[in-house]
Amino acid sequence: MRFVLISTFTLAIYAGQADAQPPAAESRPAATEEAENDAPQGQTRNHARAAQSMARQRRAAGTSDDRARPDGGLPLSETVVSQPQDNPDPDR
Amino acid sequence: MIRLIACCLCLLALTVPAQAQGDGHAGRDPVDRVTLQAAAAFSKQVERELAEQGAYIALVFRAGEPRADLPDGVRYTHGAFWVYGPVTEADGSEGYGYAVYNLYPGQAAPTGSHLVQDWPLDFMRGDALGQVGVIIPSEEMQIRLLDVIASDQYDQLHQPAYSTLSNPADLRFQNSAEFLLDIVAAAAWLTDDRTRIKVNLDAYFRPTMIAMGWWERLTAGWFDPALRLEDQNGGPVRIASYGSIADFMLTFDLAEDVFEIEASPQD
Repeated sequence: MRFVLISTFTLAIYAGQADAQPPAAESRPAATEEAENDAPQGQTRNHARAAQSMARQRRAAGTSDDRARPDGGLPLSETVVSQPQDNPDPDR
Repeated sequence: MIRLIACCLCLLALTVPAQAQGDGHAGRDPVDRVTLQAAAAFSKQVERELAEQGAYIALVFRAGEPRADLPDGVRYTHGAFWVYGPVTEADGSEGYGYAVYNLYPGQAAPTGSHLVQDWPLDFMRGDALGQVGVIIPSEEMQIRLLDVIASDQYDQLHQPAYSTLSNPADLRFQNSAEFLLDIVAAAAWLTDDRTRIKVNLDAYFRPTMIAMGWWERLTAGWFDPALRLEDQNGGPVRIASYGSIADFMLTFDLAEDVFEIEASPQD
């Protein structure tokens, strides 16, 4: 019994408690601003940063004026991209 | 005696869990299960669908094995983020398309993994079904996910120790689906603290349960070192999958839409 109590107590300290708040994406604290663009993360991050910037622009347009919100479609190239990686995945 | 041992090994091989084939182990089987042309056409079809939906980022899953070889409750074996952005056209001009952000297990060291950014065609070359599962995050979640991927948090949330059957509530191993889930959780709870993410997922995420008998558990790692069960703590085998991640994101309004796309017939 003592062992069980001690184990439970130890686990509680180790794991902590889950957030009382379930996951939500409604409000956004100011602390999480757009990622810094000057971090040297290479080409792969540039793609995500471009998407980040475009998604923010769309949201800003939609927030200021609902009529300015795009109908949802995004332009898409018909090119099938196949650009070899500098360090290709050995699985491929 | 040798014949007897060989027979035993054959019987053992038949008992290896189906999930052993999971998560984009492209190097263990022929990579191209469909023609390059079919893979290109399907990848562009999926891109077109995502673009029509206005998705800057989506979670896309494919199966590298026939459904019959997958455990109950598992529809796909590999998932990745598809991220919209500028691409270079053949003539050097700028167009738009999706890049794919993956966690792949290593070939030389299958118990390790690495993060690879490649393209929809690369993703689709491992497809065996002509079907993908898609989760489109809500608009706010799309921005949060892109914030994570564009930052150092993305690398920090990677656990290089790989297991095909990794437990999403445990820190020790990670596979591609669990990595996606961890990024989603980081974006939802606005944290890069992996311990906190795991505690929260244990509380709020309902994993996919994999039925495995004692013999399957015992022999799991004999033929595939990536089948590690230590993080299941002797209990039922729990994993993250397309279905369980979709349920989680829909339950907490983190997803806008969840659907599957079938490859259009080729001419």
